[in-house]
Amino acid sequence: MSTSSTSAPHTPARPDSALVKSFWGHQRLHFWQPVALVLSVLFAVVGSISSAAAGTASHSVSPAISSTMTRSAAAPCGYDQPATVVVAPSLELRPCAHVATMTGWLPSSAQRRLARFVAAEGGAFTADDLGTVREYLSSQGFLDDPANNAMVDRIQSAIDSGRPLTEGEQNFMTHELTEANLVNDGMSQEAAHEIASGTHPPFSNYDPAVISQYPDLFNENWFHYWEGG
Amino acid sequence: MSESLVKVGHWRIAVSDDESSAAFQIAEWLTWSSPLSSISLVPSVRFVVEIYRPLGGRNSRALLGGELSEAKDLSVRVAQSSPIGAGGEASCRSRLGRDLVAGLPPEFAEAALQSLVRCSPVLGSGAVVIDRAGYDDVDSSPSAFDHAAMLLFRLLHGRAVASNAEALVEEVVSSW
Repeated sequence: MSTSSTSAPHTPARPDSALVKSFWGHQRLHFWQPVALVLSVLFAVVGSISSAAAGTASHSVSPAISSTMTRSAAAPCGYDQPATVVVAPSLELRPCAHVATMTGWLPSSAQRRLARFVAAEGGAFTADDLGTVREYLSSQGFLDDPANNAMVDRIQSAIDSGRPLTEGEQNFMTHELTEANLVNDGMSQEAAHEIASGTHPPFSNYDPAVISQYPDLFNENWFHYWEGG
Repeated sequence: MSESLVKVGHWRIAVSDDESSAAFQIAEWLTWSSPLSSISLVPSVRFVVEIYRPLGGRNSRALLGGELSEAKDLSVRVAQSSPIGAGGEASCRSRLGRDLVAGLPPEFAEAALQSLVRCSPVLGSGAVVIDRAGYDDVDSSPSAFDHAAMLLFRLLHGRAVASNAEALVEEVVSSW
């Protein structure tokens, strides 16, 4: 018996010099987009301060964590998710119209990432959040997957020991809490998954240690993301 | 064209005679062969299988198709495309979700070959050629293509009719 292959060496694609990799995502953007986004964030912050001074809370990020995935009626390009999304009991998503209006010209994926970035600011996941995730994954049969099991175990260990969650662990929690709440509100799992996938960069919602532990369950894009490729 | 959709546990499976949009540019062939163990001359048969399972943070997806034809020895050939990348054009029709990228990157081609090689000795003789494939740049994995190849082999070997493949699909998928 014999097995043969004449394959050429596998060479990862080289980055296009005209593009840069954004700090919040896998997507490669033109060099001017991150600059414009930073300006947008500054506008949003200034707007939040102004609103707070004016006695309105509608644009602020609450201490109990929060954010926004809202569609502004005036936004030049819209989100492709519902007007309001509750990520978790401890992750109440609050309107933040500045994000929608000031970055409306950005790709929707970048808008979602910005909204999520604002959401995570100051946020921490609790044992109750993990309980919600565990219950949801179990109810859907997703804990049969060893990678999901490994993620839940890692996060449980982190919460028990007080260790801050890694980026992959945070993204996993945000994704699963978003999906769980949408499904519990009656959305199909498939549609909820699509929306939840917009809360983090592609390939970033499993910790690299778990991806390495189960390499057959992930393709090379997942490895490249964490290798900075 | 005959096709069948089957749900087994958390898995959704689509079986069809062929899917032309899953044809792809072949970069090379992976091949395996074995000395003749017995002669079993049979008419050619072709199938395409697509598998899908939601997993929460990601899904498990693969589309694989090929042909079993008469041959005097036992061989498996798997067409391989260029390596995986993010954001490839989804030109391969999916019956189970968003459309896929036509192609079989090396990591998936190798998984499919290994899976077919594990199964093939029961054929005795015959030529298996894999020349249809589609993948999702997030949700596909070597494991998914291992499963898809296993199911495809069983359908080819059983010469099931796509419209009547449900029992065979259930038997195979239940073992995953």
